[in-house]
Amino acid sequence: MNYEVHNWGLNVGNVEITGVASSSIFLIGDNETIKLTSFYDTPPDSYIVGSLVPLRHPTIEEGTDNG
Amino acid sequence: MDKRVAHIGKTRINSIAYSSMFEIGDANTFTPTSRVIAVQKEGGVETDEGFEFDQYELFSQEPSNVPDSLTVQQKNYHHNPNIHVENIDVKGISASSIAQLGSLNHIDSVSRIKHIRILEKEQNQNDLIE
Repeated sequence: MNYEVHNWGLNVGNVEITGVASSSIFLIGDNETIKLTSFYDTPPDSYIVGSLVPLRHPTIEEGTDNG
Repeated sequence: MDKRVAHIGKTRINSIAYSSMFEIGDANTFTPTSRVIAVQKEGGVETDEGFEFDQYELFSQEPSNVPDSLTVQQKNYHHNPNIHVENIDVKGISASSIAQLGSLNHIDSVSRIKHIRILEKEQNQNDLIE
């Protein structure tokens, strides 16, 4: 298989990244080979999406001082 | 392969940790490894004894075999030998990672992270709504 790449101009304004983590890469330039391996083991709680913060009791009326 | 030149205006990086790197310029190979056991214990952790790497399978497991990719004849034509980026803002780089302004031929990175939670008492979902 023949693969031909034409790199014309590359101009970027802003790059904003929160995190590059667990065997990851952010590269501005050229590269030949990349091999990224990551093993991860975490308790199921960490994957549950949602809040465990106690919810306000439904019977409390609005404007009531709950403090 | 010819490498292009990166022109960067401004870079801001908040933090770099655990076998990670921020590099300005070209490099040939980057092969970082990080092994982490992260223990969160209710009441605090006093010692790291009893948390050895060889205790957990995660640190001895081999990645499953990736089938050999077919050979590709690649030709690169850099019509413009420059890459321009005005601003970069990175909050964090962690666990065998890299942010590089420049070219990097070969990358082989490994990260192994084991999370452990130790609770004094199992929390019941119903206890929370009272």
